[in-house]
Amino acid sequence: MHYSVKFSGTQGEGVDTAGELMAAALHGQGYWTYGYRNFSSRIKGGYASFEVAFGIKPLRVKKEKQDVYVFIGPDGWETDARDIQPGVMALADSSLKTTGVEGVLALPFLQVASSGVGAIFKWVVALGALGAYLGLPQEAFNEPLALVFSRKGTELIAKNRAALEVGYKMAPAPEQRGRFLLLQKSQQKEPSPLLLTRGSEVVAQAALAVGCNFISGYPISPASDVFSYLARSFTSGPGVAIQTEDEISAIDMAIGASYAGATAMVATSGPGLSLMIEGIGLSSATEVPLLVVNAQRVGPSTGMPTKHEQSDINLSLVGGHGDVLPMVFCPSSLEEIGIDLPRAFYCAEKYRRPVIFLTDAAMMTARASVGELCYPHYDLAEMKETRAIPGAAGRMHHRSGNQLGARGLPTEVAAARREAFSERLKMWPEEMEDSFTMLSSGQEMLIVAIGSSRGAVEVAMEELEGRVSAIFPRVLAPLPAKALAQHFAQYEKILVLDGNAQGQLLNLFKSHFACHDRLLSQKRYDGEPFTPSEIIAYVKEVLRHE
Amino acid sequence: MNDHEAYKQYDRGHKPTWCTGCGDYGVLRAVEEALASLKIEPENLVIVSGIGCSGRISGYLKAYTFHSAHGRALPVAEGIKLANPKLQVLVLGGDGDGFAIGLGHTLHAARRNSDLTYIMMTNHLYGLTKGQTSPVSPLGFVSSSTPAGSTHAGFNQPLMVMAAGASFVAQGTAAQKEQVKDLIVQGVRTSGFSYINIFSPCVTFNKVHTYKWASENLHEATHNPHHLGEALAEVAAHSGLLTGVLYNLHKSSILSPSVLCS
Repeated sequence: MHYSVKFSGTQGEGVDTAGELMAAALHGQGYWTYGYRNFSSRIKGGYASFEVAFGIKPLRVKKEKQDVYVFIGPDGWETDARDIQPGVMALADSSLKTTGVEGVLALPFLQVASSGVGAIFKWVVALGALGAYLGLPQEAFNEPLALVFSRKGTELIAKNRAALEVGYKMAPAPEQRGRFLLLQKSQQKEPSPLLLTRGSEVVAQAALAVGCNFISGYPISPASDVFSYLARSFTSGPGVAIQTEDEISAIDMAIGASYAGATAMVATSGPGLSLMIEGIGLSSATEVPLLVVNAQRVGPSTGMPTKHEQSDINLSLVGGHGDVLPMVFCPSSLEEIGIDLPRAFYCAEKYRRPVIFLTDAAMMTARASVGELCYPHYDLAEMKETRAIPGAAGRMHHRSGNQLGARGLPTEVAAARREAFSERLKMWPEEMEDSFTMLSSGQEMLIVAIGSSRGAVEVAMEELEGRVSAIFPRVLAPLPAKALAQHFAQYEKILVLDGNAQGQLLNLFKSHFACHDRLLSQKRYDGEPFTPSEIIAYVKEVLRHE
Repeated sequence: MNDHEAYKQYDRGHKPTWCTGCGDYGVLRAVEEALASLKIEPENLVIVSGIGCSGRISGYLKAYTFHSAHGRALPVAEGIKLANPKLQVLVLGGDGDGFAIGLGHTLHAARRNSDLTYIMMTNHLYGLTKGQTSPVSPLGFVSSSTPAGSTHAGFNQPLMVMAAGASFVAQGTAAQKEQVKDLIVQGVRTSGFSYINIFSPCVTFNKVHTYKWASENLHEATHNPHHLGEALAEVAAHSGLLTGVLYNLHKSSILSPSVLCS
């Protein structure tokens, strides 16, 4: 059982901060939380919300229905008021026209903040009222407040605490608190979560753990957080973070750095990946290891910059003009990012080729509780000694984006090309057959998905009570085709979830497997991640016709 | 190997694919002699080049050499230098490479004042694709891509690079090997971004910007190269057609000196 609270208001006024603080406070009390930020490509104004789902079991997706809303300002109210159905509670600022709506408790957040600590703290006042309403101890916010505002000084932390206090005092009497009771920590049977994090942080931390010491980048949503994290880290330790004039320069600098011995990466999103395609080809042709992290968002072109999609599968698999043959990773959880990102660096070094690490907007931005994160160790320094790095005596050589012949000079002779390029094809690794996660349960259907879609699939599996199983490939190139084929063979129906309109994942499987008549396809491409209920509805509909 | 032949240690011994009489032969020899004079260990030297006739030069030099993509020599070189600042990094390319497809990188490398030596080989056209108009071809330039004459003026290359923040800006001609060699030596010794433009005639496609054109139209600079205002004014007044050191103000590179890989 999970609950969900939603802060609904105007972008840039503190909705996010309230959501982040609530997620951190609940996490600190031992709840598994999943905080989903709904924002737009602008700085201030317009609708924004933050949903915090929490419970005593792990959760990798937002809840579809809220239990409690908090409203300040008309933007949030106009968008979400219709969702206040029977059983749902709401705390709304008294300035909103809430009369006649059942379940709404009007409280003067803005007025109290304005006459006291200041209007900009209105969301923290509301947060305090919600904390009291939920029965969450006020101390639960001490650490989150200190952490969130640590860089802004003790004075601001004190003001936020004062605002929170005002909110707590505003709390309704217990009899007004409705049916909603917060589960006590002592009731938990499941292990507590250890970390509250998000994909962009796990990417950066895993990169540091395996020894990444170079990142070049150009600002882009929703990938910039990776660059910022490493840039902060490199100010106090060895390593270089350099912001470039564009993504073309970024990827070429990373190629130069990697060639010169650094453990280099770039992190970008859709439009940036398009610009980096040229460099991915250069990395492939020159055999320089390169890690490209891509946070998928809605495309083509600028698309919807802050919204979720899984539509860069085709581009990543192709990697550019010619036979680029990049490796493509696609972890399905934050825990898997921790394990697979170091492995992606290892593969780039071992196979001397570009590796594209596909994440998605929901995975990179959602604030989620996780258990233990493991970062496997690879001795990249030792591996680098096997390739000729500038500065080493006696290993001078020529590298080129041109096809080189036996003498190390550009060639356009057919036989020379065949000989040199067939060596590249032989390097295609077969060791990735273990790269998938199988969740075995029922035999009626197998659901196949990648990335953050796993969260919705897990909830759907539970609610379908043992009728279906699921498999999440963690590498798309080279696809663990033998292992997938074995699992696919066990099911009469295989549902492929595609976070894109073309069925990019479906088409990949069709090109590998003959079981086309058993493949079903469900697609979503409106900027939102899959929800458990739409998967359940689809599965039930298909199985009803059995 | 005596001093006179010391340049040969930087030569791979491959026969260039350039046409007989191409200015790039002169640039190649000037680079090799400058390296010999600087006594740089070949294994600590990285040569990065772009695409085009000029881009082939990296394959003829003996060092760690990297023939990158069209217009991208500078960012690759900057990554190399950032990863290991102990390496000497030379970047070579043509005017299409550095002032059309790679212009953004040229100006930003100058702005960052990256500690590199960028040797530009200007032939005023695209040679390897058979002679199209380049971004430094002058107004009215006739070629296969502008048969009625180019309707756009060419860039004033040194003016742009100076304005963007380079430490060292110089020009020479492929026919004046000793001067070019000296400019390269000075450029390598200057910390920060050094830009050395060499007018390197394309004898096959360019019937305008010939060796004779260079000798008649380029004049040795006489201004104070340590004064940015004077340098900008002179280079603007002469449409960039000056040789020698045009600007030289030592500024330290903003790039982090941290050594990652050694």
